[in-house]
Amino acid sequence: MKLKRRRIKRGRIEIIPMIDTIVILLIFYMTFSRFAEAGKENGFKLPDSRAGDEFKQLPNQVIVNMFSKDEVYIDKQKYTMDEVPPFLQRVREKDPRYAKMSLILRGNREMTYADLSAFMKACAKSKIVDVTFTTSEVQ
Amino acid sequence: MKIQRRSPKRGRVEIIPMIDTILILLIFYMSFSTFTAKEKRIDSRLPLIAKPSAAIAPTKVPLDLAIHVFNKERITVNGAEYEATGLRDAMMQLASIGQEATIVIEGEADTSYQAVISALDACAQARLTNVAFRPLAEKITTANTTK
Repeated sequence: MKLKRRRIKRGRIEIIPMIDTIVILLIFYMTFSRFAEAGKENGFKLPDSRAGDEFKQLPNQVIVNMFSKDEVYIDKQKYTMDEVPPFLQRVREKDPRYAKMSLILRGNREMTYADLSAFMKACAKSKIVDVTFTTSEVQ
Repeated sequence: MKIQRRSPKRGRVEIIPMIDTILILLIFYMSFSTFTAKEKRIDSRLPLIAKPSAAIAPTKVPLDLAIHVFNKERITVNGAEYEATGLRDAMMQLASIGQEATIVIEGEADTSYQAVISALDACAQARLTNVAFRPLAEKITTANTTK
């Protein structure tokens, strides 16, 4: 008995589903890269305000994400408020852009004045006088 | 000669590309909807206690206001009690008469950050920019030594 050989199917790349997949991946990475770029920490609520200008970060500004005085995030790294002044000092010495440093505080609305007070003392220790408070626009 | 008529093609909805398109649009709108909560910034200078500025005209007497924030419903300005919206109106009234004011915001240890920002917001809405914060005083603790 003669056995019939199976025909080998030649592989073919489907262009249209490939374009669909690429577009989806592109949108996905574009979206999430925006969070990483801004150095913003997510998962907490900013306080509401009516006044204020549009958010923008200047080259000499460092974003401080603060849940409480024991939980502060700068560039995705966790610190306590006591560790912040030495860290800012190191940044200042390393990068001349930060010689006249200012801070952007993204504080959780649940934190207290005691936490804010600790932040202000850290600013005074680091000789930083310009602070920008980030808020969420009231709809 | 008989001319053959072209048979008109019947339109057909392609389901699979339509699903692809809907999915892409869905992901697109879902992703960008997270940005609808617009962020704003309120600039300030620390520390608070501002020195009298040379720019102030000699005819105007600078006014020192101490805003003490207990919570969002109870904010005192030099002892007079307000709530957040009342504070905004008071600040606007002050700004409208062109009175130079140095504002110091202070709070209790357990005052919420939202309440502090509401007070700052009231000043910012009234375009009163000479605002400072007074940090909580360090608690003096005495160590008890037992022999």
